[in-house]
Amino acid sequence: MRIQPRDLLGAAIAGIRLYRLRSSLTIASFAAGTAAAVALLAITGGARQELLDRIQRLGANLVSIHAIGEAGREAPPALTISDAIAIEQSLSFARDIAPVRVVPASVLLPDEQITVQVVGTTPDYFALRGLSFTRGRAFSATENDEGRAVCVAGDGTARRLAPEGVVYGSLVKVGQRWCRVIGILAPEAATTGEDADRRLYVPISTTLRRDLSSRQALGEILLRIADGVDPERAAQVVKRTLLRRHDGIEHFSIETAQALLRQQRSARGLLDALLAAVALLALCLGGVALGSQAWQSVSLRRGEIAIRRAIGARRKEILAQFLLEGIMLAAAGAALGVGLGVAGSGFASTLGNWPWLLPTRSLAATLAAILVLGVAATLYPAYRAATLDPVAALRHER
Amino acid sequence: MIMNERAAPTPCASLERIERRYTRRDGAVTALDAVDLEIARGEMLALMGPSGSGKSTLLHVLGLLDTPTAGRYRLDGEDVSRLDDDSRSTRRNEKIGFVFQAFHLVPHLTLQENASLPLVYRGVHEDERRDRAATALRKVGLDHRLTHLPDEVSGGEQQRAAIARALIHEPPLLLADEPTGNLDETSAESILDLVRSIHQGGTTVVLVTHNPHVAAMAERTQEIRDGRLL
Repeated sequence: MRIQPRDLLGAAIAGIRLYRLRSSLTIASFAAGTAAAVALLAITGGARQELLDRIQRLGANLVSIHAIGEAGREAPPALTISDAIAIEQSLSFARDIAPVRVVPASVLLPDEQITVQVVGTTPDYFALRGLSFTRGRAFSATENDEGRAVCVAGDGTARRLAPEGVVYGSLVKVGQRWCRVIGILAPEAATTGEDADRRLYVPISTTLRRDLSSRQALGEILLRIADGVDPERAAQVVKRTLLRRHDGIEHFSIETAQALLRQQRSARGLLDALLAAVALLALCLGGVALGSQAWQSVSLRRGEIAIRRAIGARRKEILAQFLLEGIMLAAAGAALGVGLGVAGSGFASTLGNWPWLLPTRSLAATLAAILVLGVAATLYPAYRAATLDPVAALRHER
Repeated sequence: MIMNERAAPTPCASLERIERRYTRRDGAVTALDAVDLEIARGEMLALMGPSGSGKSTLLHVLGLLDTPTAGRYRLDGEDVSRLDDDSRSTRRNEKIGFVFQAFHLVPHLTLQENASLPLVYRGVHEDERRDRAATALRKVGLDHRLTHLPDEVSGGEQQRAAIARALIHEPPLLLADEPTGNLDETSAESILDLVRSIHQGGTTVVLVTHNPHVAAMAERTQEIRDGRLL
C-alpha cells in the first residue's frame, strides 16, 4: 500500500466526521455494550476471587460446622465438645478435627487492658485453617490436653498487645490467668474476611476447665475428611449424626467448598445473566448500527470512492479506509465503555459491598472481540466500496 | 519508410482493435467495436459524437477505468491491456489526469486537499503535498481559494481545482470528459483557455465533447458513432 498510515487515518477520521450524529450513536451502542461487558467481568471476577479465597481457606476436603444463633441459657448448646468427639470417633472418614470456641475476653498487659476474641481450639486448627507462624509454634497436644497456660497471637493481636515491643515469649493475662505467648501467626490476606489476625488462640481445654466460660458450647467444628470422600456426602452423614445427638434440632449449618460454589452460583446467576444479556444485546446493536452506518456511508460516498479510484487508489486502499473507520468507531466505543464500565461497576460494588476485580486477560479478550466485531460489521460494506465500479458510480454522481 | 517509423517517437497512447462489450439482461451491447486509434505525444485530440456513441467509454478505456474485452492498448509505451486492477490503479495515478463534466471533487475536502489527492496514493508527505497543491492551484488562478470547500466556490472554480488535481503529478495524458458541460459560457471559455494553455505546455490532451466549438480548438477531431470511429 502506498498511502501513508497517517493519511489513511486522516481519511477515516474525515469519514467519521461526515456523519457525526450517526457516528456518535454507533459509538454509544459500542460503549454501552463494552461497559456492560466490563461490569460483568469485574463483578464476576471479584466474586470468583472471593470464592476462590474462601475455598482456599476452607480447603476442598474440609467441612465446617457452625453453630447457629445464640443459644439461651436454658437451651442446650448447639454444638458441644462431645459432638466433636462423637464425630471424630464414630465417622470413619473423619481425619483431623478442630473444635473452636470463640469467647470475647479481656487481655491484660502489665499496664494496659484490651478485649480480643479468644479462641479455644486444638493444635490441628492451625493446619486446618492453613495458618502459618512468623515466630514460635502452635501449642502441642500435651499442652492442650493438660490445659497449659500458653497462647498463640494473631498478627493483629500481637501488634495490639505490643505496638512497639515484642510480645513473643512474654506473659499476658487472659481472663484470670497468665499465659505465655508461644507463637505469632503470619498476617492473613485482607480478603479472607475472618479475623484470624485479631484473635488469641488458647488450648480448648483451658477454656473448658477454667472460668472463661462455664458453658460447653462450641462455635464451630472444623473437620478434615479422608481424601477421595465426597465432601457433600460426608456433610450429609455429619448432619444426620448431629441431628440424632440434638433430638432433631438443627442448630447448625454445614459448609463445604461445593456448597459455597453452589450458593455463589445461585446468588450471582441472575445478575450475571442479566449483565451478560445486556452486554450481548448492546454489542449486537452496536454491530448492527456500525454495519448499517458503514453501508449507508458507502452508498452516500460512491462519488468520493469513484474519485479516489479514478485518481489511483487501489482496492485495498479503499477497503482499508472503510475498515479503519469501522475499527475506530468500535475502538472509540470500547474505550468509552471500559471507562464507564470500570467507573459504574466500581461505584456499584462500593455501594453493594461486592468484591471487584477486573481480570486483565478477560478484558483483553473482550476488547479484541469487540474490535473483531467492528471489523466484521464493516467488512462487507468496505468490500462493496473497494469493488465499486468507478465508471458506473461517476455516471450516477452527475 | 522503415527508417521513418523508427525515428518516430512512441505514441502517447495507441489502441488496436479495441472492443468493449457489456452483457445486459436484454442481450449484449457493443460500446466499442474494433477501435484503432493513435494519440501522438503533445497532441490535442477531440472525440466527438452524440450521447451513447461510445465516446465516454473510449475515454474510460484510455483512462484505464474501463477494461476492453478485446484488443490491445499501449499507454506511454507499455502494453496495459491485460494489467490487473492494482497495476491499472497505479498507472492511473502515474499517467492519467481526469477532468470530468461534473468536476467530481470530494465534497468534504478543501480545494487544496482535493488537488493533492493523487499524491496521497503515492505516499507523498503531507507538507510536500500541500506545497505542490498550492502551486498547482496558483497555476489555475485559485491561490485565494485553498481552504475553501468545493460547494463554497463557483462551478468554474471547482473545474479549475479539478484541473489542478489532474495535473498535480504532471501526467503524460490528460483526459477531459465534457469539461465545460456544466458551466456557463464565460466560465466555459476560461476553462477552455486553461486547457489550451496546458496543451501548449506540452501535455497530451484528449477531449470528449459534442460541442463543435469546443472541438474546434483541438488539432484533430475524431468522430465516433455506435462504437466505431468514422
